Amino acid sequence: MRMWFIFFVLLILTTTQVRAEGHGPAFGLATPTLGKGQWSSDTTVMALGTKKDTSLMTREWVGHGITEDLQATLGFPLSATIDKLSSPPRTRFASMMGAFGDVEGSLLWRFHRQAPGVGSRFETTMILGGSVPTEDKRGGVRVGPSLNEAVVTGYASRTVYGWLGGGFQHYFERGDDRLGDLPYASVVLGWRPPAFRQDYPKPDWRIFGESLAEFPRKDRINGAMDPNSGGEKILVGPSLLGLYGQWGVEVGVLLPVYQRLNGIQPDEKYRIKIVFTWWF
Amino acid sequence: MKKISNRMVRVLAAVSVLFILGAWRAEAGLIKVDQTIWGMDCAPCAYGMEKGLKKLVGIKRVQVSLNKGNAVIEFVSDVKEPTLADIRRVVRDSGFTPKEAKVKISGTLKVQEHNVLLLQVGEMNYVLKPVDKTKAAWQRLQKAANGSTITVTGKVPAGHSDEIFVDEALL
Repeated sequence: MRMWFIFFVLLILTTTQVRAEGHGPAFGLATPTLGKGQWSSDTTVMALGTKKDTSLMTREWVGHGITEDLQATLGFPLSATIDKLSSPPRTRFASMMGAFGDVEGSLLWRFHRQAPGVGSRFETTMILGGSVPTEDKRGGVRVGPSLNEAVVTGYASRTVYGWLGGGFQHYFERGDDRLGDLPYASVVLGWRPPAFRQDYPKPDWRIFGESLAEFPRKDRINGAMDPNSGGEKILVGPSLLGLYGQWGVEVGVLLPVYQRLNGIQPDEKYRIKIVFTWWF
Repeated sequence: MKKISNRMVRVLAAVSVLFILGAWRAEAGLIKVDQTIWGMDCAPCAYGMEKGLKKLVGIKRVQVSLNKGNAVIEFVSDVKEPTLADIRRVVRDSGFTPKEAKVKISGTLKVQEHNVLLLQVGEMNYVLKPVDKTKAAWQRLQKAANGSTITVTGKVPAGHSDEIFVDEALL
């Protein structure tokens, strides 16, 4: 009950602050667009449930357009995790945002861009980021800084969207501990229903079908591989994005359709995410 | 009676000078631009574009359309800036692709060697070209005096912000 009360308080607080990303999917990789000099703010409330436990956390992601094709972002936890998992899965939760408890800065370089017509474009973005942890240990493993690199290509139009991407996050050692590397990939398809293809500044809604695959490697604790870590999982689910002028809201759910986790790790049950975005 | 007449003459002269000066300053610069833009798919794209264009000095009104893929811009009277190149720079800085534009613009006609016609607006020179040399608008321009104030409507191709293919011309 306490958890849900705090969740709704945060929901109300973030709603009242909304003035003006949610440009793409909730969980998968995408090719975000920010004009030169533009800023964006994504405030996220997210929950991850396993068969044993549920976590609830808030996270902020700020973006800045250095040029029309080069963007800098900074993601960080907004508060100490409200409810923490005793045995958190190795995940970025949502591919663009960074892992639980990390402060992550990234550069996003859109090195390919092609506009084949009115309201559409093909584009490809490379992402390079680094993170530092805000916690000493994660699931019993001392956490070091990390490097993350990813590439994603996609198509955006007034009717349909699609993105295909993959990435790799590498954690550095801290003492004799090291969190396992995390290769990941995502596929997203999106559709703007005809009723929401009305012109600016009318409201703009779209639906995404998302899939995320993660293949975490085993952790190392005190120099030895932890047999209760690592594995592979595939999650799929819908997300709904609404945009109006300079602000947006997005809700998404991912459910595992396949998971094979090493040792006695609890299976994931769901991921839920709500994002409030504004551009300024 | 003579005093009143002299005073009236002075007032009339002053008004005439002001009128002539006003007429000389009036209507030089872009009046309206319909700029085609490719690549805008969503509300924040249009919002960012609108915001970027409104930051330019001399803008009276901006209307961005996602479905038509354009921005229609109206300008405050008698301003030499912004130029069409400035408009297209804002489009590119927003991450989109400027294509052909339809413009309505006033300026001073300059007749160069080999009958090349230029429209001078401030320090900017637009090369005037015919869509069809037999069209009445082009014929009127050919006969217009060097230095006359003209208003033209025409198309500016993508990638050539200093050329206007003339549809209409008012002298």
